[in-house]
Amino acid sequence: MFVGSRTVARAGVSDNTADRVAGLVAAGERLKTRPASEIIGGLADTCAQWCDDDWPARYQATEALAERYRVPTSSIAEVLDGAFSGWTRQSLEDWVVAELGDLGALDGFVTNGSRSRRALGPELIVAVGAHGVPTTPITDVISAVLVKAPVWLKPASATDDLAARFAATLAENDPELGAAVVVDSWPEAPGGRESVLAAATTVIATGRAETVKRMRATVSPASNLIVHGPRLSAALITGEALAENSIRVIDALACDTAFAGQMGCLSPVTAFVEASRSDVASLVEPLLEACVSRWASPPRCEATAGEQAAFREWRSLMDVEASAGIANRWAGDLDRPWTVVARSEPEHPSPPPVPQFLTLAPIDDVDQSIGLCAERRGLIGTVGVAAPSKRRRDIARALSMAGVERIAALGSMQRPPLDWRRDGRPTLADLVRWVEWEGS
Amino acid sequence: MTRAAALPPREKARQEEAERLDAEILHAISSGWSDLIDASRFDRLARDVFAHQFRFNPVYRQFCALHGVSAPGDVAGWKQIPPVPTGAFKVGRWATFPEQREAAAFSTFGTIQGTPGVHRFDTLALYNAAIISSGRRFLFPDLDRVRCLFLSPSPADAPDSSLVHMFAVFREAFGDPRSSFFLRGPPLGGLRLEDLFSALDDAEQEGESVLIAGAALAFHHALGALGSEPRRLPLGSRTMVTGGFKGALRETDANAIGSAIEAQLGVSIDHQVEEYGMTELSTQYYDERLRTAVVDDGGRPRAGFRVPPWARVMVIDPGTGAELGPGAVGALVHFDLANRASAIAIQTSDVGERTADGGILLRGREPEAEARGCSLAAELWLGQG
Repeated sequence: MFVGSRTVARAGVSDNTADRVAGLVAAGERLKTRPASEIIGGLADTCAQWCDDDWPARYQATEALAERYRVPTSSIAEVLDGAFSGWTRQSLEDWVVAELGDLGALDGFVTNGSRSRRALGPELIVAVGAHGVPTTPITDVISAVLVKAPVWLKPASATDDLAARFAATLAENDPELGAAVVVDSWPEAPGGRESVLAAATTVIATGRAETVKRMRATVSPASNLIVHGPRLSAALITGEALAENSIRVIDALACDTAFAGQMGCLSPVTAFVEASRSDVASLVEPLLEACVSRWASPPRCEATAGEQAAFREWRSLMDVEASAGIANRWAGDLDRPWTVVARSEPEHPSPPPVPQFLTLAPIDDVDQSIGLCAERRGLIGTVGVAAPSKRRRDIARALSMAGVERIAALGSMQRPPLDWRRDGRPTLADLVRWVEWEGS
Repeated sequence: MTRAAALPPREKARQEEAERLDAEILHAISSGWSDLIDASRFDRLARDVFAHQFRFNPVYRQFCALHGVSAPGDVAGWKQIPPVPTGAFKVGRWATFPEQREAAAFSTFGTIQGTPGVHRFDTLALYNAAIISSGRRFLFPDLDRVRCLFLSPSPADAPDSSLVHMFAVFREAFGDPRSSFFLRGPPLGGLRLEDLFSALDDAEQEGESVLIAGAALAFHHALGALGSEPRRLPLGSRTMVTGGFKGALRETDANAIGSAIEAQLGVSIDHQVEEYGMTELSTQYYDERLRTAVVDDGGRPRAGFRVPPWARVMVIDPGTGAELGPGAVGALVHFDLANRASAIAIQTSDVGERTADGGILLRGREPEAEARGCSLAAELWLGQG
């Protein structure tokens, strides 16, 4: 049976921040004595349980998240399956090998020719989560434990508690692993946040530019600060792909967009479509319906006053543009949870005015969209491409030169491999410290 | 001998109408707060300004038609004037006057990486008058001139910033000769800390009160830089913080700035004025804590930002557009007579409520929303955008 996350996260740990941190560090030291394969087994077994619909903890989490986000449980199940089914023993081992070269490097020196080297995880990782897909913070927990590091995960304020639930199940299955994970907000005592951060040898900061900046200012220069700042994703649909099977394209685009209610940075906010303005406009309604069918949250009229105000302002802007002769077509008013707009002219991928909002941008040719991405260099994470095979390589090459960090097939934007280079950087390799032994 | 070309009749009519309206609005502004514009006078002036904008901004005319207003006479009262979104300032050239009459233009800061809008003026007379009237009432009710330390770039470094322009007007109207700007302009950005600390030291040693004014984020950085070397600014010193109430800083940080100002600069909470404004408006709103402390014998200040007599703020249900009464939270719609040349009615996505005595309380933006406004400009100036 699931126990309240904060209770579990604090179980066995004193309220005193210093004691809690010391307990975590000690748990990390114990972790470092265990074989990596055993740790991977513990993680994989827990993740396997999370793939089981009938397992009580998963069932309860699904219900709780469905209630929180006010969507059907099937939408939540898709999010959970999307993450947990990928964290298998084999995939976790492959991840370590892909980034560190050898699983054994986490257990001791491994020899390569005349040299030996080992990879040591940090003494303490503090991970600062952001609003987004509920499973994303769990990636930070898994990557920390994989490199035998204890982790204090501080979730975004007022976010869901999935990470805490995961930590609780990990502790039930393998108390030693569980002891190395705290999922909690900053200690309430004065200076609590600072003392936790001061103890960290590595800090992973995810979130808005402001959060990231604040972290840069707070974290000691001696600590390894890994920053995941704001990113936007886009889709690029060629004329051939649309002509060949528009229904499949719509389905794939909606699949990528609506996953987890577009909360994550892998969801496109703009789709460039190589087609006439009228052809692009004709996609608006089917895309709206496809998004609603995948993430059927309540209509926007039930959203917060802030979201409704932002939507009202955007809708009024559409009237201004119409008055200026700019012909946009949009669907999804206050009575729907999603909005899709086809612009008359292409524009840069930009933060949408409200959540659950997709912009379609007509382009004359692919180069136009690549140019727009290039003007947002450093901000564009993933681009999902629908193109005939003969054009894919050229498009990928051009997008890579435009600063895009990941190019995926449309429809699979939400399923990056574990060892993908998020923000253009490795994950595990960024966490470890290598020790060279040249006299072996 | 040259002779000025005769104006086309329509432009001549526009200019004459603009001059007539400006004279009336200027009179209303310069009457200040003692001679409040009564409801019927405000209503007439607002509808006159609306009619002017309807006539001379064809895009706005079309917009009004979309909203069921096909002639100025269709609007029976100022509350019915169709408000345009702040984003309108990004669409084409949002102004009632021809390009060659443009006297000034200030850029807006949209969402991060967003397209800036432009607020254009054919004269700064109304804008400057509004700045001075409110500044006198809420920031300088007890001082003729004071040394002003602006945590912003200078007007030369940021000529398109409305906030910097406002500070320049402050310097002219209320500042002493040593008033200065302490942020470098783009592309370098960043605070000139040594100069700022030196100015603070001077104030401390000379016992002369100062005004420190800037965006919340700039204060955040300046106070952080002060670190463990707090100053005790002379009695009567004051701060004006703007931005930071709309998401650039978390609410806790915005509150923490107040405490830090008191702890590190020695400026008491009742001398810390908050300002709420935006580039798309010519009018600013202030809280009245300083005025209450120094003029009204330290009584309890009324809550919220005070709306000057030449402006109105309506709180609407963002879903239906219906006006909401005091205490109900909704979207803010501004009616600003000083916006004669652009848009008298501005719809924002800012959320707030009206107090029973006419104040405006802002509610923070959504936690995951991107920063907007003055603190975003400060981010750019600080070299962190």
